[in-house]
Amino acid sequence: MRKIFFLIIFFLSSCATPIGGVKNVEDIKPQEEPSIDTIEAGLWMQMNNYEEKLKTSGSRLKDKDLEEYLRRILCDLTPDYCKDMRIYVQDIPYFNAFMAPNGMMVVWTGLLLRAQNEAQVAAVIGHEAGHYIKRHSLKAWLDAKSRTDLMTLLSIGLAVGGVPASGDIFNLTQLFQAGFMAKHSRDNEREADRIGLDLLIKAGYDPKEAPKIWENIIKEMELGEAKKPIAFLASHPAPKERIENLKKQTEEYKDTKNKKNKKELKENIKPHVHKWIKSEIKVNNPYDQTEFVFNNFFDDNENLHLLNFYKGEIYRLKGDKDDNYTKAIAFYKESIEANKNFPKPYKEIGLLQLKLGETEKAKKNLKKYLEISKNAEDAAIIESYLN
Amino acid sequence: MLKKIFIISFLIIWSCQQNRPYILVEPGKVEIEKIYSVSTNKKWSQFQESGYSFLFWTIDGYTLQRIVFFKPVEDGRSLFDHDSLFTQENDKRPIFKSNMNKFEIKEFFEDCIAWSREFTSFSTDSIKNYKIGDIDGISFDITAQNELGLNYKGFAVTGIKDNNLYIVYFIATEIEFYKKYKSEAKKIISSIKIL
Repeated sequence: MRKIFFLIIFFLSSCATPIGGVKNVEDIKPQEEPSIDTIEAGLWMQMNNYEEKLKTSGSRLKDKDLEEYLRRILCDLTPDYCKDMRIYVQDIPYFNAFMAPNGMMVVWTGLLLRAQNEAQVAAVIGHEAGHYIKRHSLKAWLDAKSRTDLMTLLSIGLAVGGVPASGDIFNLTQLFQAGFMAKHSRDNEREADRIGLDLLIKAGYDPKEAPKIWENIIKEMELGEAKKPIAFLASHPAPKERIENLKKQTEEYKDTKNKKNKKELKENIKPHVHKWIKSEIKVNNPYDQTEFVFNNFFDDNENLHLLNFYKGEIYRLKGDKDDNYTKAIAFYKESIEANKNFPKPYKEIGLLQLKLGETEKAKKNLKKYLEISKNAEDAAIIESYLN
Repeated sequence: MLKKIFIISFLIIWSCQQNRPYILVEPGKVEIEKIYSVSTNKKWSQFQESGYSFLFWTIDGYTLQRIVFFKPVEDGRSLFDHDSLFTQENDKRPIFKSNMNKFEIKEFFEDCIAWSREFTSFSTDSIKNYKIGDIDGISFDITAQNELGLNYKGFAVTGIKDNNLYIVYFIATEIEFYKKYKSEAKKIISSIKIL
């Protein structure tokens, strides 16, 4: 009986290998739209509805210049598909970007804060464009559908084998399904990585920047509390595997010195940086993780005063435990050391010293703040602490 | 039999009364939960639920305009005592400390609203010294946007008394209702006395 059971599972598993015709899906052509009577048209319709909501959503960053800048990157990478894809920026402080089957691409602000230059952003945009060109959403849908059919059969097969199709067995079939889908998804991700890298090189960007962005994400994950992806069930290739693949692909281009465009990226996100950094702090990740993100963002001596000020802010906003205020004051002092005319650290030191009972020192720093930042909006509030 | 019907009817009516979240506030001087005393020139609908740490007044509906009165927040507690409908991160609920300075109070308010995830963007500016009754507090302006992209404007007043934080804020849709009720809301909020 046991043998029959395993034979049925084996038979059903082997049936699943061709993944229901998914391999026959062709790349989407430029300006191609699916025929109205297809599954793909249904997926497009769903995503068109989502896109309409996203356009007016409060979470969308309303910065046409930034979206236009990202669109230019996309068009440089994929001139033929430029008209087919739209980029939106969502104000969410985590590292993410995704592509919908209808050409809607979404980039989160947490990604833009973490990218060190335009080449790194282009690597992600190229990767997402790869998903569109290869119709990965449609493939994933067809795959999921064929898996669901298979799993129904598998449950019946298990029942025929004398195992009740409920409880743990139901979980077992779901586990198989999740595993197959994850593998399929990882294959899609690898393919999108390869396409993204090709596009990056053709557009003249430094290909070595592609693995760097993932390297930074791994380092950040290791410093944080986030669980590392589980190899079997992860929807993306494990980041380390992704880096190795990308590095292998970039080896042949190691002598090329292509553009990175660091300044361009920083200029375009400049109006939002303070708010994004504040949001990053408010996520309340472990100190080392947030510090790592800031060190990468301010990776030159030009903005050392800002780097140290924000490091002070991380500690201040963690509250009056574990010597946080003393640590914050130390960073604010380093900020002043880097730029004596930067007013904000004087104010924060003064306010913290008031809490610590160091009233005279506090007043001195608050007065200095008022002296440097002429016409400060909060001058009256500061004065209320001086009287 | 008649007695039974009478008792059942009474119980049904009584239970309906207990669950009525809205009551009408008439113009004049009003006491709110023996915490605040305010004056109003208009009729407002007051929403209150026993488990909530706040109540609010509205005329056209909660999403269009409201004045929110928070019950005093004790040291170590958050602005919202009930679990957020939109977030599971109850362990990340911002906590009030009675030694917060005026800037930190404003940050605490922002963080609490952000935690509740009612708005997708929420910011405050124009912080000023402000007296709520006899409390030396602050006022600041609010701008917000919800997931549907509707813009809101408003203002808040807040201060600490006996280690408890008092907060009242007005918010309304930027189109139509902010302008329409701004001055009335200002009058009501400036009439607040802490009881």
